[in-house]
Amino acid sequence: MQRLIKNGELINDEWTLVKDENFDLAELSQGQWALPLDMYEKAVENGSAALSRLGVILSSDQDVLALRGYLDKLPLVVINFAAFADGRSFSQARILREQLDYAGEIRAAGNYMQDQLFYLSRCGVDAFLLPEGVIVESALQSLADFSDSYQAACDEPQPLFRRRV
Amino acid sequence: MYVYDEHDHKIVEERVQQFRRQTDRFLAGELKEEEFLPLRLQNGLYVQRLAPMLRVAVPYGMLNSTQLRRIAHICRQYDKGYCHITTRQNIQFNWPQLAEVPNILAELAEVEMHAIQTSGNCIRNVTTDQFAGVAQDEIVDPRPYCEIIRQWSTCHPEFAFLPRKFKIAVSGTKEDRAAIHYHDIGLQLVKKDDGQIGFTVLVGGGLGRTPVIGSVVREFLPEKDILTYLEAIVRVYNLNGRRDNKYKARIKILVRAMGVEAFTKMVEEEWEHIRDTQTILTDKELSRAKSFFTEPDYQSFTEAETQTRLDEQAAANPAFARWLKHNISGHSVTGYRAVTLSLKETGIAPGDITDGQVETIADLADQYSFGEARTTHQQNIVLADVKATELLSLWGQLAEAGFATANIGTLTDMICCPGGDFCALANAKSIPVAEAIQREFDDLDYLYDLGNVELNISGCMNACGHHHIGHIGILGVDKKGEEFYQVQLGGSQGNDASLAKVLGPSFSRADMTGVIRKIINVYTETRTEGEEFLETYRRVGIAPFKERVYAKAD
Repeated sequence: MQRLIKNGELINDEWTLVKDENFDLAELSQGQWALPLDMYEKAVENGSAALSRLGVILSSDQDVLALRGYLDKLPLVVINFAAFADGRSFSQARILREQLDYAGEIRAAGNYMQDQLFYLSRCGVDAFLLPEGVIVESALQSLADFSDSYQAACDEPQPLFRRRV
Repeated sequence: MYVYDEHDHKIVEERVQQFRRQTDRFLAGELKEEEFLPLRLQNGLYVQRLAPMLRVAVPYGMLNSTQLRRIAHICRQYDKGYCHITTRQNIQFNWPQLAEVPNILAELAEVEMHAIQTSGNCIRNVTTDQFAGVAQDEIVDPRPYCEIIRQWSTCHPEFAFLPRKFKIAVSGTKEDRAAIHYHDIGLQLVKKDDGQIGFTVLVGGGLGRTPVIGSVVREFLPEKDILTYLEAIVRVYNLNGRRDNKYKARIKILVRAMGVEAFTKMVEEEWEHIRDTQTILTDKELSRAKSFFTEPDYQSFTEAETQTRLDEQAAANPAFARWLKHNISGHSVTGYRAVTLSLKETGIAPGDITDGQVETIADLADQYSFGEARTTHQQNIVLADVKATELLSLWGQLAEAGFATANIGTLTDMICCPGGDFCALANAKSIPVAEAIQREFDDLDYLYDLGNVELNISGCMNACGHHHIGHIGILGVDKKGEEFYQVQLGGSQGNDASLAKVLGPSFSRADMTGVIRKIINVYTETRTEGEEFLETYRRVGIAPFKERVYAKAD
């Protein structure tokens, strides 16, 4: 079982992430599920489950604007890293928070690195499904690698130059 | 120059601590090689042919004497007693030990230096003209803007994993000396008639495998909008740049694939979302940044008395006269000159300097130039604020230290990457080629007669030696495991930017000096009165050069 850090703490994960393309939407009758975008759209259309029990898994090559019509009822967006070097997810998260005003959970999953936690959190990611083998204490330390930053981002709307006395 | 406050210190120190933990985890086997790779690269650490190489950032080329002395100390303590000035104004150490790198970074942090983002797929060190602030053709001093961009790009949370590296250059002068046409983003400072300052924004220039001249995406961007606009460009690139092929991943490929108009439209749309955010610059920040780059305490001189005295000194000393003519540049303040220290002495790898020489530069900077020095992208050093009355005395000291070779702007002042002697990427060695050419053309009077000839050498198509934009470019290639050299002609890095054309099939190393000799002979035989090499080339084209170089021996 993968461990989940949210808002800087280790918590129990209530969500099941669906990766199987042949997943049967009938299973959605109970529990909380995160679905790939096309499956999510189908589930919404079919009324397969209450929207509060459905999240979306977004891959890095998908346009975050496709979520625009769903965001006010969407509790979870999982941004899934196919490879840690693929930095599109950082922009996706920021656009979700800053341009689409998304207030639900943004969760990093897949093949990202512990050493990206701090930057991801600045980009609006608030939950992290830890990659295998990561030591939780060490991950929490990475999450707090810096106590100050030059740029404005989701955690701090004012760049440093507006905060210097 | 810029001085860190508590925030700057904290960010750089925390970066050192972060990298120390990452190095510890790597050495303990807790961090995989492929995961450590981007982390060490973004802290300047490459693994080279013989040892790791650490590239230290010299933001827009500015160094003070305290920093120079620390660099000298690092050369001695952690390296083999020398370092190297790169073609992007940075400093490289060739022999550090991996486990010691966090200690080196901590030593650098103490003197307000770092190696953040000097490598890797992120925004690199911003570069500019080595004569910024003193250039006679300056429109606006670019350094405050460079510092503002340095801070914005440092540890940028969104742009640390771009499709490929990303380089920004700023020019504040009429004549471009920062090669802004060949950067991912090139910024030309402009001043409107009403005094309003802004930038002409170029995107998608670059060298490497596919050399491209950048395109203008905006004629005038007000200065306050620079960071939001940069953020829009880089975001569009981050989301849309190719990631499937590292040779097609630079922004120039995206701009070309989309077309400049479509690309610009996408940037402008993105910018509309963010242009009014808090990242828009304030008057306070602009004046804060400018406050670090005010004029030092210049003395006043009259040009007549200064020049008369220099003329007398030059008349009495031909060697000094030569140096004065070639290694000195004009200055915006009467009675002052900018002095270029040549790191192109024959027999020394271009751009290499020893610990002792670095300390000498620090001492001379203190004595003659308000304690500051600059690195240049031609791999030399500049003392920018020297009194004309003290040039003779400075020259004597430079000659003793090996910096007075009067060859700036000549054929032997070549740009040259470390090449196959050091670099794991290189196809061929470049330093021995540079040296052989320097030995072939050792007559200074002959070199002066040739005028301005820029010769650039890269050991591979990654083009660190900028071979595409040399008047004469040399590129190391691999032919069935053997080192060969392709010659290109007609490149230019300035306002009249042009890419060099390949002369023809490549040559063995032994043939190279002969080939360059023939090219130069074609020039001297065909030039008209006062015509420079590049002008002759542009007038007669590549054919006569090709004919001579590939002519069959009778």
